[in-house]
Amino acid sequence: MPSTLTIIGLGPARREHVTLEAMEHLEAALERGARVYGLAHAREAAERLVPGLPIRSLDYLYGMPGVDRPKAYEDLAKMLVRRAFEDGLDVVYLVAGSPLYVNDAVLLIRRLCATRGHPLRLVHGVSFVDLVLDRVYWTGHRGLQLYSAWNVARDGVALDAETPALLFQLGEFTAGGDALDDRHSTEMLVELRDVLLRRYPPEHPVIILYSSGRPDYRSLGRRLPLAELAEGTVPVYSNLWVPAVGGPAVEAELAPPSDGLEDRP
Amino acid sequence: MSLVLRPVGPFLTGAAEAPGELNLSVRLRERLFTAAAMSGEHRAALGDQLRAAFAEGDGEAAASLLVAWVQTWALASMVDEARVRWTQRPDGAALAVLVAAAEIVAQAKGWPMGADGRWPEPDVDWVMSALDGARPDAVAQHHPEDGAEALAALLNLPVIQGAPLPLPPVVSIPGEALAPRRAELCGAVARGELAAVRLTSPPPEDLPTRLAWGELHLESDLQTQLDRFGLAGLTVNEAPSLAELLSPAPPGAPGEPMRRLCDVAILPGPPSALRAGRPRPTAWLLFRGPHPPIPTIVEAGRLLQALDGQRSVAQAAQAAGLPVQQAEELAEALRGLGALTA
Repeated sequence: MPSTLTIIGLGPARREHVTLEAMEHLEAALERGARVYGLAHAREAAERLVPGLPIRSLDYLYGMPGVDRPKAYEDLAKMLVRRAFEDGLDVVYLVAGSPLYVNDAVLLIRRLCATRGHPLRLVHGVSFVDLVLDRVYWTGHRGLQLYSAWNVARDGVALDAETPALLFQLGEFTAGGDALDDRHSTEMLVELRDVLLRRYPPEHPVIILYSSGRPDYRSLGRRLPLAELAEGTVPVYSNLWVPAVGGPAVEAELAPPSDGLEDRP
Repeated sequence: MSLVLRPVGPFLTGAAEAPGELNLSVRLRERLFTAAAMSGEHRAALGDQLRAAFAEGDGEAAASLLVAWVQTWALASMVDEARVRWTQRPDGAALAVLVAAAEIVAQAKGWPMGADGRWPEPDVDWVMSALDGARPDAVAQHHPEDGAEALAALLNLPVIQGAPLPLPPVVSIPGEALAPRRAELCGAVARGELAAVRLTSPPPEDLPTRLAWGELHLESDLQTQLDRFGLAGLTVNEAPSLAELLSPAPPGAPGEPMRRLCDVAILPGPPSALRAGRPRPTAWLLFRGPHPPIPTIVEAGRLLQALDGQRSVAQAAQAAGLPVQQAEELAEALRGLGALTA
């Protein structure tokens, strides 16, 4: 019996951001008939990359009443580990982006495998952070704070105003994983703005970083004063760049697009 | 030569009765799953029950009966083709129609569903009439849940073992056993040792059971079909819902005089209002084709009843007691719904 578990990071969205190693693993999974699992975005990406690859949808965990994200990820992790190492199957778990960035399910799987002595194969992917940072000038001289917007707005995480911060999943507004439309994102933006205004002046520049979506997935950016943060909606996977107070001036600038095209949202 | 009786369940495909066998599944389909029965005896029986429910003020029963009664129009237009297709080969769309028809038959006849939960269990009078005077010696059991034991008890006949049905392996468990046996059952499904799991009682509402149910559907390619169609569902890979098989009626042609393209009934309703105990007169547009029934306002129903292919809309408005302008607007809307044509 194979008893293998492989986690494949598929990168943020664009085909050219999928690593050669990930492509080889996807094609091999199809060839050997591995049992492949994925959540919405990863599944859609893999179906485009390797047509015909059967992928079992884990999306039901997001829609199940009474199951919050921590519970869903815990159940998912235990289930995949059980499938591979108790049922003796060749299991592949697909994730969007890099498996190592803010992915609770992957973290749980890694811990479970480590504590039980199971081998785990992890195929790295390009992180969303790589794309997001291409519209700002991060010097690295003052470090970087990386949090979800939820952590800052609702979990009481206090930012250090003298260190630049990248806040991700800006449009997120529920704990249940159903935050795919942007209509209610202002709820989060209002809360985030109010929390940030305790440490930053209203005119402090912030940059909303987001993707143009299909088909090009261009990195887009919008610079505005913090006080105006909640005046529009944003897609769930938007990010907020908050330069440090008194930091390098260049870190407060919006960088031009890196794809050589004009910046037309 | 002995004669054995085969029970209704699990309603698998196939039309022929083997030599020495009376197949109640085949006979039930051929006699009760027909357009004639759907638009005749079943609709009439449901209508009688519906009137009784209205008279007794039983809103819950009336709502259920009303839903079934209005469905007989579309089902009558689909059931013959579905039956023929199902007797030839496993067919998801045909099975979806037959399962919906089975609910109508059970409700119209007042029969319970059989052990499989999806197919009606006929009463002794119907079984005796279906035998056409033949005297079977035993009931053949081909699957533990084909209803053979109940049928044998009904007719006071012995049960003999028939050839096992060529179905993928399924295990039956009570609903409360699902969560404790989650790892074992889902693992067996994932390894291909089990096709699906049948619950013999409703599962608890707790979180461990819901997660187990979710994983079971994640791993099994046939679980949804088993849930929807019972054992017969194991023979089809996918099946549309009945709603997906119905489409809006095409619009009628403009002009005058106009005539009806559907039947019309004005009844207390709609079902949600019946359940809430606040029914109001509702007109139903009932199409003799694979189109969903449409509830509408009573004025539209009265206008439709008055439009007989002879009268103008203005004349029909007068007959229906409606202002001409309202009647013209309604007629145009009804034409768009495929209920009227020039």
